[in-house]
Amino acid sequence: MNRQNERIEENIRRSAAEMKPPYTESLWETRIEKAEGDEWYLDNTVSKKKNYRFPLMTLAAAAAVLLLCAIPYYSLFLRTYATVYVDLNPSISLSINSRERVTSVKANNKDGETVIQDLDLKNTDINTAVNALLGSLIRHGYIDEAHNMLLLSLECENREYGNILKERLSKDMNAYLDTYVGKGIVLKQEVDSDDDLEDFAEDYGITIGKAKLVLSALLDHPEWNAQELAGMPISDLARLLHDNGIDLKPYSEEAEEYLDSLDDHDDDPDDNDDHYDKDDKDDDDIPFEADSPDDRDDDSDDDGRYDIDDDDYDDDND
Amino acid sequence: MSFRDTAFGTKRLEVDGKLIQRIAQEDAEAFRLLYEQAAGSVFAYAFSLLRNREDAKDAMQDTFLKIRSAAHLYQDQGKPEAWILTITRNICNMHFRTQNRFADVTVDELRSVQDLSQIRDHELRITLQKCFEFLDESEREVIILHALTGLKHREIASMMKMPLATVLSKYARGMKKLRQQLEGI
Repeated sequence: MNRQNERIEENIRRSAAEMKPPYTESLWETRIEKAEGDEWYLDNTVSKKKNYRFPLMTLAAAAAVLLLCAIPYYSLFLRTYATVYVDLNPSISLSINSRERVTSVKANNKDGETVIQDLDLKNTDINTAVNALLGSLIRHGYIDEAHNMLLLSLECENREYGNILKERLSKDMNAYLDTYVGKGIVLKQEVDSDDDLEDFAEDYGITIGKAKLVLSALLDHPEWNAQELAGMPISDLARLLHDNGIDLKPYSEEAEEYLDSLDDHDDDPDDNDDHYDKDDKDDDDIPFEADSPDDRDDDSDDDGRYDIDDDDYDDDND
Repeated sequence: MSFRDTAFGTKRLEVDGKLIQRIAQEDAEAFRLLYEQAAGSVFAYAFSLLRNREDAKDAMQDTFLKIRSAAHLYQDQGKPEAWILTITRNICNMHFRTQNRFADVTVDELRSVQDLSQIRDHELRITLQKCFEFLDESEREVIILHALTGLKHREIASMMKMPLATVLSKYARGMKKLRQQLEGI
């Protein structure tokens, strides 16, 4: 799909090149008036800034001296070496240094604040911190037998180390959940920050890990509502993706098997579960409309044809 | 969908911000170079908004005149493409406000003013034609901007004054429509 998108974009670029009118000297010879900065055609452009060159250079020199002294200490103890993101519905980010000690803890939403309010995780090693976090999630009722899936995302420039840490943490988390709630599923992934992910995560009060999962779902199903996806507990979100043919194996082999087993259970006619189901045409809970709530009414020409049942679920991920 | 097997490689709009600063110093060569770098994208973007070749040509020329007028105010922050295309967008919006010419036209009438005959390559022409026929205005704008400039969705959202999620959604939805429409071509 990405390759097809790239090809369409390439065609648009080549069309633009073919359509370019030739240069005419009159463009340079036409008399113009110098703009003052408040002209209508400059709306939404960045205005000129003042020149702070001298104080900036002085400050930069002083900062450079400080940095030279501080670099060894910073690298070892303060520099964020990796960031661990945990999402259920509470979303929490843990930064760690090269010694795997937690250097900062951030709640990405209100639920996250509730979970970490009684915890002092700074300077603890990451395994202890994650266990404490899971304990708090269980105590506050965010994890139980029905909501036993969480998303672990790891960001680290050192890919090899990041992968090892991800596997180690997910194994520990699985063991912890198996012990305390009977069964636990950890979806895991590696993630790289970029501006789009960060902005999306901030807008919806989730980590960039969950933002990545939601955005990849939206690419397959643009008719879904971004805000509703972002607000879903991971268990519900995973179920929705699974029910709509999105393969969760890259995140967790176990998740696919587990959700398949729930599907078997769902076949029971007496079952009254409220999970999202692709085939349940009357289910009003499917989060249609991918537009943000700020923009739900601007698609006046939208013909409403987006329907989960007539969608071809194009799996053209070539 | 199938495309003719050509290698990708047409560059996105990449403008040297220093050219704009040189234009502020009345450097005619810098202006000509900027035109060579940006005119295609400016024209295509204006065309996607105005849907009329002559109007788009006027908007493109107006954009370059405004660049000359405002070059001394330009602050190089690494995104000259966004600065230029925001001016184009403002000019096109002003065009709509002053002329409002498409208020009551039908789709068929719109198609009649979209003269794509200049594009000789069948595949390119069909791609652009489908953009006009099957995408709504904002979907088309998001896709054209992304294709031409390589601006991130966040930057396009800022330029269009839309939430990021809306822009992402419009991009994904528009691309899906195009993939479906271009299937088999």
